[in-house]
Amino acid sequence: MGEIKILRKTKQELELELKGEDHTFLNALKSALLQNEGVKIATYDIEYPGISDPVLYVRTKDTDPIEALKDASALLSKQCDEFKRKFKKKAQ
Amino acid sequence: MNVDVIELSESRAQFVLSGVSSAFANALRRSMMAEVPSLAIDDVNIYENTSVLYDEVLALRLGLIPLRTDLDLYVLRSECKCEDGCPRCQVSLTLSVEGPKTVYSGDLQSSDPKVVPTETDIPIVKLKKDQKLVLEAIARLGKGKDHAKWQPAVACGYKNLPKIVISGCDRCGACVDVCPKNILKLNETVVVKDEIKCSLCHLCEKACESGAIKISADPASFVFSVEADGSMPCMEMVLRAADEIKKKAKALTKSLSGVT
Repeated sequence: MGEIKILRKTKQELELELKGEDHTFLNALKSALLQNEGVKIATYDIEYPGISDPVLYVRTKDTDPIEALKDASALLSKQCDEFKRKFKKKAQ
Repeated sequence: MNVDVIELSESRAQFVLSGVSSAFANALRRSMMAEVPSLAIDDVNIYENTSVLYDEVLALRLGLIPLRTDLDLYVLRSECKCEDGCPRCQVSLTLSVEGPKTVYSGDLQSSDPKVVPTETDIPIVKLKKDQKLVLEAIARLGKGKDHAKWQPAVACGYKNLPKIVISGCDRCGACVDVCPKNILKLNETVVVKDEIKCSLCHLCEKACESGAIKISADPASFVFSVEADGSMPCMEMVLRAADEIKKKAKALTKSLSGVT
């Protein structure tokens, strides 16, 4: 979990391979990235479904794409916490 | 983000999750099915099998029996620090029976009294006189994405929250008759009995000649219907699903901090 490989990195672009992951995480991550105004493009590809590892592509306006990705990850993490908190509360 | 719990029991949960993206809702759904670990029989040592079923057929059936799982007590085999298996990553269940009888899941004897089949009346095999079955089954934690036997969620899905607006109704009642979910009722005008049960089929819209009924779906609200197989309480399964997504996010953050 969390094993990554940077395939390409420029000032505004990032191509990142996330080993062992699938749509469960990637789609949610992409959605979190796109909520960031500084992110121009965020998408992912699975070349051979079920076999290959997904590749995430991020392009930003003028910020560091890795920072944008860190923010997106943190946003997802917060969303999970919020969901758990609210679900537990309403379950009483 | 808002959560409204409609129904919650050990085996079922129905709740409305709103203010999230469809990607998040789907991630939760997928996580419930494929990422939340549970215990299932993974290896079977067969000492005697004179039943009518082949060894591997029995092993498959045993693997599919849902087992009560306490996720705080066990770890995934891949994360266990032991060499070859230990009480932290595996449980042993034994079966030693002789016919004539039908062998049920309840006949399995577990080395951990907390890890037992969720149902005792799942038939495994029928034995005739003198047919014997002596085996040891090793159960391990695993994820639904690796094998369906480890999937803790049985019926897990969501739909967008339906919204039904009626105005200018001429009381013809055509929509009431055509609704497959029977959620419309004819009073002074047509009223909605149970909006949340709407399946968004739009048959009522098509049946209405005056265009009085309008069906729409809130793109950011999701009605979840979840059923657990008994390995853990439904509420725990839902919460662990969110945990598994968070774990991935945290792992990515950690890997990224090693980059820049």
